[in-house]
Formats: sequence, C-alpha cells, structure tokens
Amino acid sequence: MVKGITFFKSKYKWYLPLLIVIIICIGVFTSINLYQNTIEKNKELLLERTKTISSFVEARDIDTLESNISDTEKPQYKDIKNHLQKALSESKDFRFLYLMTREGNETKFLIDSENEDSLDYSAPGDIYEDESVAIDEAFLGKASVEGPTKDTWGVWFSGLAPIVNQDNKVVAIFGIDVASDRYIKEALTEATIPLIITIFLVIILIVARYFQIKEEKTIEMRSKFVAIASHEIRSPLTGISWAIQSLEKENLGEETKALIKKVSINISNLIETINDILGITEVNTGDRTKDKSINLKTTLQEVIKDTELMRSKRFIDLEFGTDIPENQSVVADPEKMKQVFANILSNAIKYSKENSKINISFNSEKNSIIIKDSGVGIPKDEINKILSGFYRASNVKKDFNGSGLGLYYAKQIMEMYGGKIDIVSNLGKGTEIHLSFKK
Amino acid sequence: MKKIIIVEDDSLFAESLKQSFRDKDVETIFIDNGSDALKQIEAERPDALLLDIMIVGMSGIEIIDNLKSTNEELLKKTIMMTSMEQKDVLATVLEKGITIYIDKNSKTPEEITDEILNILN
Repeated sequence: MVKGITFFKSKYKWYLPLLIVIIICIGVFTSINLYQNTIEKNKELLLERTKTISSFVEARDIDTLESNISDTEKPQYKDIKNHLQKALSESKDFRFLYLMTREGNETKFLIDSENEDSLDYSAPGDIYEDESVAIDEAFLGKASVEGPTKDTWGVWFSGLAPIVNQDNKVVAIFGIDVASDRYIKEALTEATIPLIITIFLVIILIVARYFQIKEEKTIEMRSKFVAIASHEIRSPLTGISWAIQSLEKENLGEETKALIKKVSINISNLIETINDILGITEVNTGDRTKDKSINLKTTLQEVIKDTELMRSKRFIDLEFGTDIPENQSVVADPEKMKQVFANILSNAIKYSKENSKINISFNSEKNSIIIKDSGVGIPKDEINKILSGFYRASNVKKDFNGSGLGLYYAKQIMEMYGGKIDIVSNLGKGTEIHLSFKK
Repeated sequence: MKKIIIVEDDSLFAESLKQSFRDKDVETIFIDNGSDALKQIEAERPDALLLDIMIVGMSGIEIIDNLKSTNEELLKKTIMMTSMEQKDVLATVLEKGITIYIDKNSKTPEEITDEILNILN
C-alpha cells in the first residue's frame, strides 16, 4: 500500500517527525482558536440579547421602584418580573435575569427572575456583594459581557446593559446570567474536532511509516539471502571451473581430454545459467536502494570495452553510432543496466557469423538504443517465447554456450525501470534489439 | 628468483593456482589462514602478494591494516581476489591502499597468474 510513496522511505525519515510536529502544532492552534471563537461568538450573542431585552424595560417604570420589599406589590414590578420570567423560559441558556440599582457604593437588586420560594431568590434591596467589572461599566453607561466569573450563585457568563432615562442618566442595569459550563461545553466540543483530526492524521502517518519500515526490512532480508546464496553457489562453481581448466592443461589421453572438454563446457553453461537466475532473483527482491542516475552512453561504452576480447576472437566489428546522445541518463542500478547491455551484446556476438558487424544506434523519437547484428536471426513465432524466459530458439545449435535467460533478464530490468524491449528479426539475416527507456 | 605469497583458504582454488604457477619462474608460498599469513609475510619478505578477501581466522581487511603499518610497499604489489558479492568490503579495501583487484568468478587461474607476473616486472 505504501510501496511507492517516496515520503515514507527511510531516506526521508527526518521529514516525518517534522511533519508530525507541524501537524500537532496546527491542530492544537486550531483547537485553541476554535475554542476561543466559540466562546467569543456566544458572548457576542449574549450581548445582543441583553441589549435587546433591556430595551423593553422603561426607565419610568424603574423610577417607581424603591428597592425595598414594598416593590413586590407594585404592578410595574410584577409586569417587569413577568417579562423577565418569560424571556427566561424562552431561552435554554439563561439562568438568571435581573435588574439592579446602585445607591452610594452599594449595588442592590431591584427585580430578579427567581420565584420568591426559590433558594436563589434575591429580594428587592438585597445587596449584591461580589465584584464585577461589567456591572461597574454598566452603571457608567456601557453594555458588556464578562465571564467566566464567579459569584455567590456560581460561575457565569453575564451580559449587562444600562437602562437610561431621557436625561441619559443610568437609573438601573439589566443583567443576564448564563451558566458558564454551557458555553464552555460547546466550545470544548468544537475544539475537540481538530484535535481528533490531528490525532487521526498522526496515527495514519505513523502506521504508514511502520509498514514502510517493515517492507524495507523484508526487502533487505531478501537481498541478504540472495547475496549469501549467490556466494555459496558461485564459489564452489568457480572452484570447479578453475580445477577443470587446470586439468585441461595436463597431458592426458585423447578420450580423457574430450571428456574434460565436455565437463568444461557444461560447467560454463551452468555458471552462466546460475548467474542469470541469481540476477533475476536479485531483481525480484524489489531492492531499489542501488538505483541512481547513470549516463547511458558511458555505461554502454564500458560494457562494449569488456566485450573486446570476445569480439576479436570472432573478428566481429562494432560500429558505435554517432547519434547516441551524450547526456541521456536514466535512473537505475548501474550494475543491472550493465548486465542488460552485456547480455544483449554477448548474444549478438555469439550468434553472429565470423567477420561480421554489430551496429549500435539510437532512436530519439522512442528514446531507444538499437543493437543490430547480422547473425542467424530468430524465427518470428519464437520471439515472444524467448522473451518469456528459459528458452533458446530452435535454429540455434545446442552446444552454443549459455541459457536462454539473458533476454528474459534484460526484459525484467527494462520493465522495472519503466522501459521495454522489442525484437525485430529476420532468419539468416540478423536481429535488432530495441531497448526503449522511459522518457 | 622472485617470491610471492598466496593467501587462499579454499583448497580447490589453491590447487588450481598451484597448477598454473607450476611452470613459471617464481617461488610460490601458499598459506591457508590469516595469522600464519602475517607471520610468513614478515619472515619471507615476498615481492608480491595474492590475497583472498575472505580468509578463515582473519579477514583480508585485517591483513591489509597490518600491512599498512608494517610494510606499505607490499600493498602496492598486492592483488586482492574478490567475488561479486563483496562489493562493500571492496570499497573499504580500496580506501586502504589496494590498487589491484580481480573478481575470482570471472577470471581463469591463468589470467590471475599473468597479473601477478606482470606486477613482478
């Protein structure tokens, strides 16, 4: 699932904690912001409601009140109290609505929304003893909201507005108390959402990284196994090969020599097959850690140089085209790409007639390298089978060295790097191998 | 007559090398483990050294480290025999001053013998 996602690869492992820290910071910041915004929004709404409701209280009705127990009989008192209680019942947030007045430096209740038999009832004339900035400001003519503040009755958000007469004198103040945890709960609920999203994102990132690490470990294990297996297989084979070569030089009878020669050819074939299979197994480990940007022209030239001996033995000339671009590069494991070129070239040399030519050119439209030989060619109906592995064409003598795997390996590699192989061939005339690279 | 020491612990390889050195005008001393190798190098003062990268008892790298401090001249006349799978070890070895290395799997014993003889001249 996370196979291709570059960001999680160990190469970039420091970006992930950085990203996580950034996400957490953004999450916490957004959370705090959302909390504060929700509270602010509610406070503003409360202020509006306070101003609106207070506008229905007439200053001249207030003037009739004396802030003592006799007020409770007055129709203005009862009227306003009804108003307050109605407004209270219509809101799910309001807890207390009240009117207060100030005499000297004492703040006294005029009317409140509680019934007389309630424990929280404040009778007219009861002194409000707690400190409140908003109450002070209201008496100075300014409406405001404060909270959360604590007083004798609990913790509140309070909206306070002045009630002024025609002379713009503040005769009383009107207040609404909302239980603080109403707003706080709402704010907390809002604020939790970004936190949840943050935690969710962080978990996803960590899990993805975990799977990536697991996959990398698996690939590493596979690679190590292939390396060890390769070594264990190649060493004794090389040892045997060397021993056989030494024997070939001994002075032995004709029949013995012939037998040793056959063993030698078989060992060579075996080594080549093992190399091809080990190569393919290595490709299949999925290990891409050796990939890097390589120059096609120089890589090709290196391999061509290695084939000098083989070519000269059969007097085969190599024409290296002038149209091959200097700066064309591809991202790949250099060893694997060299092996691809080596396999194609060695096939071309093996199946070419002596004294013939191999030509290498470039097709810029398809971004492909073309290796052309004038050898025995491949029957058309067998081209696909050869590319599918473990197959040598029927027109080729059995004691030619090599397995049929060279082209299969080349196909695997080209496709791994986003390219492809095409074969154009004419029996008896020659073969063209087109190696097309990803643009 | 020039003298070379060959440190190779696999008997099959050692035998093959012995064969290819047989008719050559050079004295060869074959050693199959690391600690003996250092002693012999010290005692015999060879003109060239053929060293396998992995040897029982001591890795080729340890021998090179030792040579670096005791006999740096010889390092220039040392051929390291490697196999394809030891690429990372190879890098370390090259850093320590080895300039010539041969992949066992792709050369014949003859070719390796020829390389050593080239160095001696």
